[in-house]
Amino acid sequence: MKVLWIAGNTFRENIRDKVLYNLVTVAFLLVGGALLLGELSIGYEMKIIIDIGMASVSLTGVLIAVFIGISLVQKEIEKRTIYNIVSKPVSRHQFLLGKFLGLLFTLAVNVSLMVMAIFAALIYLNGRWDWSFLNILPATLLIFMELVLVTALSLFFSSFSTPVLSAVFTLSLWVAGHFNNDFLSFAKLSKSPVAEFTCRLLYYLLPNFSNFDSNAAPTAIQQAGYLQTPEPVVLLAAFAYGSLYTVLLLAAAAGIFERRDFK
Amino acid sequence: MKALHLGILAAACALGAFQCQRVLDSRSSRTPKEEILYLSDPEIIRRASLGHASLLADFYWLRTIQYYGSKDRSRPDQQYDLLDPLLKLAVSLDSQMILVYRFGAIFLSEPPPIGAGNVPAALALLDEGIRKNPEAWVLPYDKGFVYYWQNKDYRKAAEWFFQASRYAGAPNELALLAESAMNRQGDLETAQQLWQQRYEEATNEKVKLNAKKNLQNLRAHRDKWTLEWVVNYFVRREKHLPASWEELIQKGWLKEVPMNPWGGTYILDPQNGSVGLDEATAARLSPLPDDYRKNLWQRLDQR
Amino acid sequence: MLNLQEGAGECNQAMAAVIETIGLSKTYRTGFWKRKKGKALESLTLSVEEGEVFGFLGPNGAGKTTTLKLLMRIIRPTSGEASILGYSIGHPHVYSQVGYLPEQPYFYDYLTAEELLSYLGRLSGVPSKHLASRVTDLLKRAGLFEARSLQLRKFSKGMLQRIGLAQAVINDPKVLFLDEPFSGLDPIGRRELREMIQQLNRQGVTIFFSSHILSDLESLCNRYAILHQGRLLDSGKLEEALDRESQTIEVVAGGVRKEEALCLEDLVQDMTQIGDRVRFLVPREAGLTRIVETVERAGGKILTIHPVRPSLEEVFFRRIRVPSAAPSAISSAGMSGS
Ligand SMILES: Nc1ncnc2c1ncn2[C@@H]1O[C@H](COP(=O)(O)OP(=O)(O)OP(=O)(O)O)[C@@H](O)[C@H]1O
Ligand SMILES: [Mg+2]
Repeated sequence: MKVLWIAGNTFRENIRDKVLYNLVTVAFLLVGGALLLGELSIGYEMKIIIDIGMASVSLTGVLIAVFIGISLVQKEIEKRTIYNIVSKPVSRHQFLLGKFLGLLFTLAVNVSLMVMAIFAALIYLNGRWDWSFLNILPATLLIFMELVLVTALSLFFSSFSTPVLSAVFTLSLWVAGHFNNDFLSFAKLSKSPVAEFTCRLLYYLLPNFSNFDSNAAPTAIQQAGYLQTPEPVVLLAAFAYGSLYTVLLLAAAAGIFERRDFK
Repeated sequence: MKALHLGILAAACALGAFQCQRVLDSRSSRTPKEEILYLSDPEIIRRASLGHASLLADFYWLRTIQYYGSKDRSRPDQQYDLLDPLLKLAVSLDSQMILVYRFGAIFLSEPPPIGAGNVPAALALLDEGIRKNPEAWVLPYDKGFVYYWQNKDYRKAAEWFFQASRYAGAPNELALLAESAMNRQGDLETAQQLWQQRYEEATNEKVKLNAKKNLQNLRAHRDKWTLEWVVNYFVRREKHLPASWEELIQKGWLKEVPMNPWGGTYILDPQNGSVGLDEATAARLSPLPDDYRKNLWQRLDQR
Repeated sequence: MLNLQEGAGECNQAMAAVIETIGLSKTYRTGFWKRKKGKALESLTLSVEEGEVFGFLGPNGAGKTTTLKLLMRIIRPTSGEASILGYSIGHPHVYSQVGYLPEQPYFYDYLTAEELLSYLGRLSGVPSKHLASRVTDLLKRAGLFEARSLQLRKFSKGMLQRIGLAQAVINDPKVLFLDEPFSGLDPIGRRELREMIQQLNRQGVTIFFSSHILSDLESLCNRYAILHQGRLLDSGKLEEALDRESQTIEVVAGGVRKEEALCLEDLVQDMTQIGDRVRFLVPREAGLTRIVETVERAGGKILTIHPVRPSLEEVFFRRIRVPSAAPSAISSAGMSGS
């Protein structure tokens, strides 16, 4: 219960810090894009809107997850507001989890509102609602899962590092995580068993963000606006992977956080 | 929660995540192809897109349209060197953009100045599309189209139309189309039918415009050849050349002489009986293979 | 490092020490490689009993805030242990009966006074049904009712101090920790706070507070401790300490000049001329009779003789100025320092 109150307060903080203002930009992008594409009629208008929309969802989400994520706990320590929390009957784990969930809630709202905007743009282009629009949802969920993992990463790094370093670590892991498959390729190519082992180890150790890639997923196909969705098994496994990795990071963060001094 | 509990939890999660990764890896489509590690351009771009290859595909598709649109199609020596690489890039980033294959099939195969005049590239692009999109009947259909229209290989064309007709969701007329392509080689009506359909379904304005031009050309030839046939028939019966269209109409050989598709008139040469277009529109007529004329005359003879 | 989570002190000991620290130490590591060590608190052993108002004294940097932060789990001790209400401080649930006002409190900018109190009240475990009325009540008592919908970023220093005090007592704590509660308050606020502390104490709340305003401490607390450079110099009952320190007697004589009494210099602690009077400060038991004799021989007159009770301030300065004298005082007070 206390976890939820902390989460609620974190969400309130995000709202009052105007985190969701990014939505305005993206909404402009989508509406402008829809109007422009409607004029040009070059084909694939809906697909292009979906692609721009999905990229926006993912990019703004990652930026929020990293930059709010690293300051989530740091700011409370910096401003000493944490004094009033840990001196209450609240354990540090609860605090950490609450902050985490609060940001996830913010991200969920952000993602949902953007999906609404995408739907609106699609309705404008298509002239009417089509149930096949809902096929972008699995891809959206995958992106959200990616954001959850990014948030967990920034929280983990900020539990022992400075904000700037945490941002650098998280962003580089996010980028590296998209290139992760190369470690496996290197492993297969490499002649020395040590190198192969190292590559394989890195492949499984680093968070594999390509598991959440949506480029295989939400592509709007063909004239009728038919959309393809990823296989259920892939979806499920990617979800399980993301959740487990997240819990792993949170457990590590909690372990480190437990031993920390707050200035 | 004690440190020990956290440790156990972390270990369990690590194991679980590892298993999930194995499941994901076992999906063959997701495992990387080792031989193309940064070797081909689209692959680098795909990686740099951080999971948004589809968006980059859109970008290249827009570039393709832009590139094609920027060319001056009235210059007979127009070149389209970048068309093939751009199209390839777009479809390698998103292999499911059917329209890109179709656009490519037309404008790669059309002779200059309309297209690149590179029929093999068009066929290769379509082959790639057919391989990646086994459910899209329009791609084998387009391949038949290219064989029919550009290569004049009516047997191959019929084969591919037939191939397309067997796809789920393909229109029934495809089988008939295959038959007529086979039986009546170089048939104006079939060609007209092909272009008409293309014209009606086109969402891209360039494609539509191109179809319209071809339809106009086909109609002009049909009219011209039909009129020539009438003149020939007149000569065979009356043993002299007609002096003018009026003479043919008065003697009941013709009801009327239509305007040509570009708003001009058909002109009869009283010296040798040949039919042409008026000066203003004559340049718009582009040549068609003689097969078409022979086929048309054959059918008119049978009547 | 001792693990406080699993440490001893699960159960209440026979004697009801509300706050107890045993050998509590904190060494800060600073510098880039965390190699430099700074001892902020050295082996503090202290116990505060139920119902006491405990004054925690010490010059700047003595380690008072460090001690409070350790007790509030804001920082982890380097060694030693502590318990509150008989429970090791690793047990979060103890803190539902604890209130804490940090030094220079700072709260979420973006919340209003009312929202902050509701939020912290919930975290303190105040039942939801009482929360609203409790918040309103506290806002009124803190004199912030008018400012209840103002965001805290617009609060003045004193207003922050007031809201800090309000949140510290939101859960009706049994033990209250206040770190310099008087700082930033106006005279009215100080008086109100003094009254609040007295009233809470009458209700049985144990109060542990640090302050630099010794007059306030003197009028409020019944026990005290003096900390200097991380070490406990002195602690005990305030009354006893003051009595113990009152080993001087003030003698005021009229009709004598200071020069005439110079022969007494070795006897008295201090001698001051005030107009035609001379004020002698004499250690107890010293030759009071000789002073009386001398004054009378010089033709003067004894005006008053009475024992002097020093202020806490004097006690404080004596302890701090002569740290080397401290150990004996500590052992005589029966308290352990180090
Ligand atoms: N985060 C920290 N890192 C390093 N040293 C610290 C830290 N916090 C406090 N110190 C040191 O610990 C010592 C005790 O500090 P503390 O804040 O407990 O003093 P205080 O008694 O509260 O002083 P004041 O009366 O000024 O509030 C000081 O020497 C201080 O420099
Ligand atoms: Mg202090």
